[in-house]
Parts: sequence; structure tokens; C-alpha cells
Amino acid sequence: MPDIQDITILLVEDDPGHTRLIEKNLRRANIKNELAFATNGQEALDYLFCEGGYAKNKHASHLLVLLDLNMPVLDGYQVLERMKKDERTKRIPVVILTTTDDPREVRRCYELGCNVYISKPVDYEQFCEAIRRLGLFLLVATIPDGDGG
Amino acid sequence: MAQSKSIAQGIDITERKLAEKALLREKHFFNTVMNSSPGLLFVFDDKGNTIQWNRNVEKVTGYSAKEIAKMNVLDFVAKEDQKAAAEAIQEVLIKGQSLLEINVLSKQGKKTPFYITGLRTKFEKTTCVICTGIDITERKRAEHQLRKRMKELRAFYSLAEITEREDSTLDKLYQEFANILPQSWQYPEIACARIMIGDSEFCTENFAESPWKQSAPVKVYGLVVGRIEVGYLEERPEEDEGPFLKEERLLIDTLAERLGHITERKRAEEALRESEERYRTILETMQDGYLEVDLAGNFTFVNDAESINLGYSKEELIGMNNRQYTDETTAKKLHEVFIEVYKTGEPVKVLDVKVNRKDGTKGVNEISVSLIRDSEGKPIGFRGISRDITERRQMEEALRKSEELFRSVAQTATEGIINIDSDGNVVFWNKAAEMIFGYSTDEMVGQSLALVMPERFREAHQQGMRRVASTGESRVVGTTVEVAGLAKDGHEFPAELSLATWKTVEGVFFTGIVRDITERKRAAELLQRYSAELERSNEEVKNFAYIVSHDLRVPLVNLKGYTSELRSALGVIGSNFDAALPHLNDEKRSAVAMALHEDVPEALEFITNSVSRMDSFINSILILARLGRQDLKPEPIDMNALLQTTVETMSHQLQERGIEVIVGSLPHVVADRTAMEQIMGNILSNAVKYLDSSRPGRIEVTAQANGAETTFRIGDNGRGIAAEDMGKVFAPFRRAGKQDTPGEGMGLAYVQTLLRRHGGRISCESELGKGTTFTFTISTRPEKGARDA
Repeated sequence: MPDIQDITILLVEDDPGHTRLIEKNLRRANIKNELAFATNGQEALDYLFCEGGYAKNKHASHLLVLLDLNMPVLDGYQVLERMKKDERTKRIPVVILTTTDDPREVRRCYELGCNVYISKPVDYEQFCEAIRRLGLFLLVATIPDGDGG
Repeated sequence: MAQSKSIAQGIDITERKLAEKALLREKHFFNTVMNSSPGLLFVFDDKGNTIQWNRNVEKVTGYSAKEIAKMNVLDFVAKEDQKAAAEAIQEVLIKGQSLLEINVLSKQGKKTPFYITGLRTKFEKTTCVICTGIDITERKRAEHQLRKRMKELRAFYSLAEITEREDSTLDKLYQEFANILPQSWQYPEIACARIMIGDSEFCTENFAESPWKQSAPVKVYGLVVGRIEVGYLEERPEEDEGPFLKEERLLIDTLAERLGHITERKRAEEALRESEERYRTILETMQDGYLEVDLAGNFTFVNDAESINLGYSKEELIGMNNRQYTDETTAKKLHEVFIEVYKTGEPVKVLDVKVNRKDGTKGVNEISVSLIRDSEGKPIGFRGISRDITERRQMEEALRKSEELFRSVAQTATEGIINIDSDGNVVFWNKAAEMIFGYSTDEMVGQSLALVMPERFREAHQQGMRRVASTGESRVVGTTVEVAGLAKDGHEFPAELSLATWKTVEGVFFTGIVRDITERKRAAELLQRYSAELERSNEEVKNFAYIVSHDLRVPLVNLKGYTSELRSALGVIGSNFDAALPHLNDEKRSAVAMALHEDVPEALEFITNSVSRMDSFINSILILARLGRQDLKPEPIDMNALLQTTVETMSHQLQERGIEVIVGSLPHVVADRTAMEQIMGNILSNAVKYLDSSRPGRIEVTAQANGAETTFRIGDNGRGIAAEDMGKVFAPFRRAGKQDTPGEGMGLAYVQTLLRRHGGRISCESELGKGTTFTFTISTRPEKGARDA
């Protein structure tokens, strides 16, 4: 059972502003975990499978993915689908963090195997609150053993 | 009488001798008288014992006087007559006299017919009968001959009578004749007869084959065609020919001969009648008129058709001259024709005989005239066969006009008009066809239509033609089909062909109307492409709205987030600003304070508000996009219940403002429940929103189911909408008229989208200051998978 502090959070987000806001608010919520960043789906998969630009990496043993949906190259659905199909990554918790709150997209993500779906509120106070709660949630979450990928 | 007196006188004589002498003389006289009688004369007593007789009695009977004296009178009577004789004797004894005919039987057995008279008398106190007898052999023979002759005559008479009967057919005649034949034979009661002609037999009812028969052959024109038979059913004494008399032989031969002649005559009559009947039938049923005129040209005979043709009755026509029913020119022409026919003896056909009918109408006839000769070959008149060709002439004229019309129509038509015969060869090719295919009429007439078809269709065309020829059925006749045409320059083009077929005496023809539909096809294809493009772009717009509303949120999050971050950063700066104040002069301090406390917060405020509005717009567009995409779940909805719920949710507002909502009887519909709630909710809240505060609000909801559709009307007595604003009513983000309540102007846009999804439509009628009525229609049974907005 990994210590929650040992978990690396991979934030997959194409908009750098959002990345910063999420990071800021996670830190404010007292999340001290190591953060990794990917700006599109392909980068995220490369990171997860240690391929492409991350070929030489040996990434953290325990991961949690914060995943946006609308992204260039590969979108969030594709990333989620690949992760859940692959033996190495299917146990990694995935939190969808996106601007979309369309019920059909929510359903689709859960069908593809996401663990949590969080809409990014446009209202900043609500946004901050959502991220804060996500942080609180992460603090108490238990994550399965990583298999080292 | 004289004798009986003299006998009586003799008794009173007293003078014996004288008396004896006188008696002797008397006896002698008496005997002389008796014997001189040419017939029989005899006397017998009441027992029949002979008393006195003359010599003729001995001569006729062949008995001697001694024998006779011992005999009874009945002994001389033939056995068959004895009964009658005995009765006659009794009659004489009672009544005094009698007479009868009997056969007298001689000692040798010979019978001789006698006419006997008897008279009762008294002789020496004894009652006696005096008889006289006259030999009637000759008379009997004559009578027999007469009877025979009568029988023969009757046979001939009957035959003649039967023959003369009008309705009598030969078969009837044979049968009746067979029936009367036996009567003419000696023993009619046991006679039977049979007439055999060809395979037919005509028998008397009692006919049976008999060994006692005679027959005679029946000849017609010298050929034996049958025979007459007469037979006896019982044996009879032998005569000249078996039991038959030689007269009967003669009779049967004669009858057979006569029957032969009658058969000949009857057959000839029948043949004549049949022939006459045939000609009469022909004359009466023929459509053509038949007429006979004498040499002067006067009718002597006309048939029905001729009578109808001229409009006069037959009676009126007989004796009428041709000048009376034709004009002068025609009469002259006919006269010339009669002369020519009279001279040459050859028939002549006269065309265009103009006739004036009794009713004043005019007609045209065609007459064939030939000569009638009598049995000696002398011309006695003319006969003619006439035909009314008035209609034909009219039809020819009509046909000519019709053809002219067809040609002018066909030649000016913009469609190609092509006629082909049953072999598929072109017989007509109009100008438009020339334009369409590039072949001239001269080039095409007589050519196979296959010439203007692309090679790959020719075989199917030939097969189709063969099928029509053999079955009379065609898949394309009567329909319009799309085909490919091949023009003279080799280019292929799409064409539309309508095919009709018509029959004439020359066979089946087809008329095809051809249109070059290249342009139409192109237009149709273009339309289809546009339509597909439109659909695609419509889909893109929907996706666009959806995507944009999402993607637009991303920068909004940043704008909002960083404005907020900026504001808190500004707070940090502001709270630390006082520490920096001593380092600034007044002017700078004031400028910084201005920026810090007024300009920046004000700018941030504008940014924040704008972002909020932008967010609000995006949310609205998002809703609209979702309404256009979401799945509808049609279900039966009780609209009364739905309206009640909707009104209840607004009840606070309605009560507060004193608004009356009247809901009529609403039908059930099949629709998506949420959508119907939104539709009704939006329209009602709109009505409430735009009521006129100067009068009590009144909203009325009614509906009418009309077959496949249900129409709802929601009317209010609110402010109404100005005519120039009507266009904005259903547009997104547009609000019409004076606004005093918050809203984005999206309500009716949503309603319209939802209704379109249901295959419905909405319209609005309004008068400023009076009120507004929204009318929307949805199909009672929405088509499967309601149309996308």
C-alpha cells in the first residue's frame, strides 16, 4: 500500500493557464505530491508507457492521472481508453477534470473506466472549491499498488 | 196377294170336278209362276220345314226335290249367316216381313250371295213364310270393286292431302303416310306398315316383322332410296300374292311411285325454300342496301337496309324513281350508268351517289349496278347494291383533320415524339426528336429505334419488343421510364420516355414521348448535393455550437481565474502599499492610490462582468445545442395533467398578480414529456412575463385534435408584439418589446427547437396592446425518430 505522499500526479491539460490554476489550487489545498505535466494525450501516453520523449525515464511507481478531455493530438477519451485497455496502466486511477458537463460525456467517461469526473466550473470561486475538494479527496484516497509499469 | 185370294176361293168350290179341274189349273199356273220367277221362291212353315219351292232352288242348292222336301230352310244358309237367318225368320213370324242378304250354301259347298225377302202368311191354317231370293253375286262383286277402289282412292287422297300441307316436312309425311297405309288393305285390323327412306324408318305403332308382307321400292330420280312395306300380323287365306290381292300389289307399287315423286318434289321445294330463305336472310341482314329497279329506273324491290339508307319506307320506295331521291347531276350519272349496263351487260360501280333522305339530310352512297334478265335473257331491269359511305366520308375528313392536328402538335412539341411499328422501326419522328437525337426524319424513318440506344440496351429492347409481340404485355407501356439515349454525334444522355401503344389493322404501334433530361438530372444531382451539403453543414453547425460552447469555456476559466488571482494579488499589494507611501511624493502617491483603489478594481469588475455574461451566453447556447441533440422519448401524455402541473408551479406568481389561466379540454399526445413541459412552461411564463399591468391578466389554453395533428393555442391579453418585432420572436438572444423582467431571450428559441424535434411547428399572432396567441402543432403520432431540429 503506497503512502499517498509517494504518488505522482500526472496532470494532462493542454491549456497552460488551466494547468497553473490547477497546480496553484492543489498546492493551496496542501497537496505536496510530485506533479508531472503533459500538454496533450500523446505526451500523457508517452509518459505513462515511458515511450517517445520519456523513453529513458523511469517514472514513479505510483500514479494518479488528472485528465482533460478536449486536447490536440490525442484527446482525453483516447488516453482513457488506451489506459484502461492496457494491463500496465488499467489500475491507475483517472480523474477527469474538464470544462464539459454534458451528461452524455460524463456517462461515456465512466463507461470507459474513469474513476472520478469533475467539471471545471467557470466561476473561479467554485473552481477553487472544486480543486480544494479534489485535494481533500486525494488525501484520503487509497490507491492500488503500482506494478512498476 | 193375288195367289192367297185364289187359294181361298178354291176352298169354297162345291162342284168337285170343276173344282179339281180348276185346282189343277190353278196349281199348274202357280207352278208356272213360281218356276218362271227369275230368283228363288220358296215357302216354309214356322219350324222352317220346306213346303213349296221353285226349280231355281234346286238349281242353286244342287239338291233334288226329294232332298229339299226333307230339309230345313236353314240348311241352305252358309254357316256364318245362319244366326242372322234365324233371327230374320223370327222377325218375319212376329212382324210379318223381313229381308236380309245371306250366302246360300249349295250341296257342293259353293256359296252364292242372295238378297232374300220374307212374308208371313197362312196356308191351310198353318203359318208359313214365303221367301223370294235374288242372286246378288254381280252386285256384291261390284260393291267389292267399289270398296277396293275407294280404299285406293283414300290412300291416294290421304297422300295428296298430307303432301299438300304447307308445314309438312318429308319426315312427317312419311310417318303419317305409314299410319294410313293399313286402311287400304283387305284386312286393315291386322295390317301394319313401314316406310324406309335412307337410314330412317317410319312405322305404324303396331309394326312387327311378318312373314306375310309385300313391299315396293321408292325411287327418287331413278335411284332406289327406300321402300314401302305392308304386312299382316296374322295368317290370312292365300290370294294372288300370299294373302295379298293383285290389286294390292298394284296399289303398293303405285303408292311407292307416288311417294318417290312426292319426295322428289318436296326435296326440291325444300331446297328452293332454303335457297330463298338464304337469299332473304342475306338481303335482310346485309348492311348494304339491295335494290331492284325496272328499266325506267323505278324501284321494284328494296331491302330493309336500303329503306333505312334512304329514310323512306319500303312501300314508299316501290315505284319511286331515282330522280326523286338524288340531285340532278347524280340522276344524270345514274341514267348514263343504266344505259351502259344495259348495253354491255357488265356491272358498273358508281361512286359518290348523293342522296337526299326523306328527313332532309344528305348522304353519300356507293352503288354497284348490274343487269336483271328474265328467263329468256331479255333485260327487264337493274339491281344494285348500295352502301352508305356518308360516315366513311365524314370519318375520312375527320381523320385527315386529326392527322393534320397530330402533325402540327407533334411537330411543334418540345418533346420528341416517335412512333414505331411492332418491328421496332420508326414510322414517325418529329422535329423535337430531330433536335434531341440529331437524326433527321429522313434518316430515321424506316430505321430501327435501336439506332438511338446505347449498345448495351439494344438486346433488352429487342427482347421487350418480342415479348410485347407475343404476349401483348409490356412493362413500360403506360409508364414513364428513365432511359439512356444515343445521339447521332455519339454522346449519350439521360432521357425520360413515356410509352403508349395503339392497334390498327396494320398491327401494333408504339408512341414514345422523349425528353432529354440531362439538364434536369444535373439540377437534381446538384440539388441532392446541396441538400447533402446542407445536412452536413447543419450537423457541423450543431457540433460547432457544442464544441464552441465548450472550447469557449476554457479561456473563460482562465479569465475568471486569473482576474480573481489578480484581485487577490492586488489585495496583497494594497495591504502593503502604506509601507511604501513615505517613499513617494504626494502626486505619485495619489496616482498610485487612484490606480490601486479605483482604476484596477474597476477594470477587473468590467472584465468579471463581461466574463459572467459571456458564460451565461455560452450556457444558453449549450442548452440550445443539447436540445437539438438529446434523445427524445415519446410517450403518451395527458396534456390536461401536464398543464395543471405547470400552472401549479407558477401559482404563487399567478395569485400575486391576479392572473387567470383557463385551460380547455386538452387531448392526449405522444411526445417527450420533458420537452412538452419545457414548451408549455416557456410559453406560459412568457405570457405571464409580458402581460399588461393595466388590466387583469388572462391566459387561455385550448387544443384541437385534427387527424394526424394536434394544434394548441395559448392566447393572452398582454402587451402584444409590434409587427416589426415579430421576426425576432423565435430568434436566440432576442427579446422583443419593452423589457422589465430578466431573461436571455432564449425561451421561444428553445420551444421552437423542441417542437421541430417533434416534427411540429409554431407560429405567433399578435396585436400590440391587445394580446398574443401562440399556435403550435405536433403530430399526434410522431414519425419514428423525430426529425432533428
